[in-house]
Amino acid sequence: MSAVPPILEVHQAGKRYGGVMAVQGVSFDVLPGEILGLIGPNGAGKTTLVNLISGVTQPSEGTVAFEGRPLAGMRPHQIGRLGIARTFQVVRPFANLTVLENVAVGAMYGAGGNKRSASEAMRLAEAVLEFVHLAPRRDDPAESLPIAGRKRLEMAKALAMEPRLLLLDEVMAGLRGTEVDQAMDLIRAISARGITLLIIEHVMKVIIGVCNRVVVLDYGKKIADGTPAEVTANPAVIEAYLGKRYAKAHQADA
Amino acid sequence: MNLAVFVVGIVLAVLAARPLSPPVVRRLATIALVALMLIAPLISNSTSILFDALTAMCIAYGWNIIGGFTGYAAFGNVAYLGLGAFVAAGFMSRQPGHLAWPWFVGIPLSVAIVALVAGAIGMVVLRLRGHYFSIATLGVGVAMPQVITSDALFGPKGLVPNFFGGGLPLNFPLAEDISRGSLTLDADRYFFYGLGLLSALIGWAVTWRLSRSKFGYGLVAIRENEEAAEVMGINTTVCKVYAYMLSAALAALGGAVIGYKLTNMTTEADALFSTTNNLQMIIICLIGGVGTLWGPWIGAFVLFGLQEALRMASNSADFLAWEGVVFALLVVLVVLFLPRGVMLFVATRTRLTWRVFARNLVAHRV
Repeated sequence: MSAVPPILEVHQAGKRYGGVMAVQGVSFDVLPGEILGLIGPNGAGKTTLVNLISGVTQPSEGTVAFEGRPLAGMRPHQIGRLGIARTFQVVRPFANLTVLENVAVGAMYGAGGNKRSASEAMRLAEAVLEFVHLAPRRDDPAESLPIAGRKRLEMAKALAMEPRLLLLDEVMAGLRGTEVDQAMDLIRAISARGITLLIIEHVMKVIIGVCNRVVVLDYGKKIADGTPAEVTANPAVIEAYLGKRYAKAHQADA
Repeated sequence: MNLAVFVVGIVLAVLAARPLSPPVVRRLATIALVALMLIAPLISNSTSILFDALTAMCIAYGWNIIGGFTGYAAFGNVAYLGLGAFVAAGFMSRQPGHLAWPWFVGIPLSVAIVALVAGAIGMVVLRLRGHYFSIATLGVGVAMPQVITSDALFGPKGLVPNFFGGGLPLNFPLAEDISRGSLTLDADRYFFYGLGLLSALIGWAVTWRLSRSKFGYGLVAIRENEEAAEVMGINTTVCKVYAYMLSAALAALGGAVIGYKLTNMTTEADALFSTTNNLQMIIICLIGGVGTLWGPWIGAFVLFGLQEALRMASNSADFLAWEGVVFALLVVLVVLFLPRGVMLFVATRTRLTWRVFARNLVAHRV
């Protein structure tokens, strides 16, 4: 047992869609301040798990608790105000609002929103845009941003909610080499602000580069949990990604 | 003369709406516009069409909140327009069984009651999205006159006996012309016009407040992406119901003022609950610019200005037969070629060229 209580506890969480268990019996903790990676092949249940945590769907079984508080039955806006922010894999900008207004909505309604007026929210949004390097585009409509900008905007909207836990769902997808490096720097900078991160990612360079710990899902079940080095050497993980034969060959090599 | 008021009003509203012009110009244009509307009854030969434009504008401002800001295309706000008139009549009528309250009590009370009714209905219909929501609200619009004439609720032995007439005549009290010595102030020209202007200004002020408030941004976020809005901490259910209530309240305000001027609710029920009234608020928003502060103002003045211009140009009874066709055509053209309305040219640097229309046609075809 570690001395610090976890910020997020997922216990035996499961989600059934018809006859399919998209997520089944998954348990893990997220510790305050860490960057936890969540990986797994396509269809492993990563996004479903993020949906369960953010309240977009309710778990069929098991529990999720944030800072010791069970999230069962809470609507997404309640969870958002509690201090959990998320991004969407397919970005969802408010297309006809400006970049600044998009971010300001997060500042108006997130964890710190209640104490803030609309104009104060605008000021916080400006600071957040500065932080994610989108300030020059503040007055452009969100739909005019290129994909890398939209991913940044998605993160800025979540950051403006002043979350204590941030869930990033594949923010690297579609980015080119230098853009990935910039986004990794941004993730480190977010972490340096004391925000705990749970990131879903396919780009292994990112997982190895920024994560303290990695949880691996396959067919909705947790198959590994450890440091990036441990997980990438784990035969079960290699098998899940590359198949049984490759895993055996890999073990023979080692 | 009314045509001149409409044209100058449109120019001033465009100046006030233009985000590219300096704030001083915008503020001065707003003040000039209000001043123009205040002196209009002194220079106009009949304020009747101005009254129609202003009350329609108030109702359009209401539709703009749910249809424009929140992005829920409501097709039944006529229910609240008509209900607003009937409830106000129920309170204000001097006939036996009614309360004979003055307009400044009866109308606000009616607006509040209609908002509560809309809140209850909204909690049900706002669970639907897209076309399903539109159809459900259309149903509300069709059902409302039936409810008002229902014997079980408002008949002689109903829950609230004869509140909406229930077989007996229901009239607003007649507004008297005001006489001070030799000076006579005509009620139609001054009193009802004043009420119409007040309702339009309330619609404008509510929208102005909304467009810079957290609540307003919440509504726009719901329009743009409801799921993302919810995740960002917006209680979408509550926001939508409030927006629907506000929308209904403005419809009720406009409706009550229109009803007060029409006076006889028994014979004018069909006119209040008409399809024309139901669609006019949407057409006004479409022409002006959906989801904007000045869109309903510009739209109402363009629509009624055109009506006035055509009436003057044709100067014959034939025109009445063609009026519907002309406006139906206008709506089709606006929806096809200019879905953002006049505000497209006002709010952006877009120039008025054929290419704009062509591009819009391509971009919005289905």
